[in-house]
Amino acid sequence: MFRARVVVEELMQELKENYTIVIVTHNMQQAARVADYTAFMNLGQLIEYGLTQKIFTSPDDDRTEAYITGRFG
Amino acid sequence: MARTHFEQKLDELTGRLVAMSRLIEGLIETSLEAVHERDVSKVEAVVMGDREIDATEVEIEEACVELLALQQPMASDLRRLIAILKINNDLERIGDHAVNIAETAQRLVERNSDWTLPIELSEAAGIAQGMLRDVLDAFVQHDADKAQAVLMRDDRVDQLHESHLRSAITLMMESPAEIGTALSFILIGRNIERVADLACNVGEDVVYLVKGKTIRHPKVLHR
Repeated sequence: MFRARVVVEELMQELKENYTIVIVTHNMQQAARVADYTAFMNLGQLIEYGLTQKIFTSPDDDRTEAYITGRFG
Repeated sequence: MARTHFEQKLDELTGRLVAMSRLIEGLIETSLEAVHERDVSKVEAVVMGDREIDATEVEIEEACVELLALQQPMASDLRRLIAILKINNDLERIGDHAVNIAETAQRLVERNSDWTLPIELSEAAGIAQGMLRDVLDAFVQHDADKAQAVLMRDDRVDQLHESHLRSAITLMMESPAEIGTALSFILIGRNIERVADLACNVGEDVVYLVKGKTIRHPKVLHR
């Protein structure tokens, strides 16, 4: 299981040199590890989009903050 | 919304850090009293207080590492934990400076020379104490503006430190017999100046905690 995750994430790192990859996930650790940019969507609405580093350390929107700190969802 | 176990842990950690900060304020106060009043009986109290702070610093750091590893916090939770870790370290260093000040006062008294604390150092000590008090209040109140206001006061401490250094060098050239006393005052001045610098570090951490902005090293381009 762990090995499979590593292989998939390594492959994404290789592919992103030449391709744009959009990954939809609820696994925030994975999003934080592999994404350059992150978008947070809720109930079909785009809440916030930005650099992954920014989204996961100091998001602008309170709903993003609440979701990634585990206070809802 | 119900408070999570993680939030309770963070609140406990914050409470311990605040308690430690009040102890540090007291240590700086006592070390400066040892200087002003030439009272060596206060030195032991400062040394013992610093040992307590050292132990608390390690406990807080271990608790932070545990929360980072087990909870993998993000956003404001992550910033709060990082701020606690950094402020914890800065406070421990301030405790060391209190010990340096008190022990230097003891050496001055033991040398039995007739001395009074230079006026520049007296003023710098007052400002540094005020900076420490206000920046810790800013941390408790999550007040970034108050924290930033503290940073402005560091320039005056630096000016006083520089001014005192010039006076001390002049004194040593004119009166070689006073070299020991002048060097002790330089040490006290250096420690006071470092306390003010560390208060500024805490202030920068408070701004990061509240706003998510890094204001250290303004000439460096931050993301």
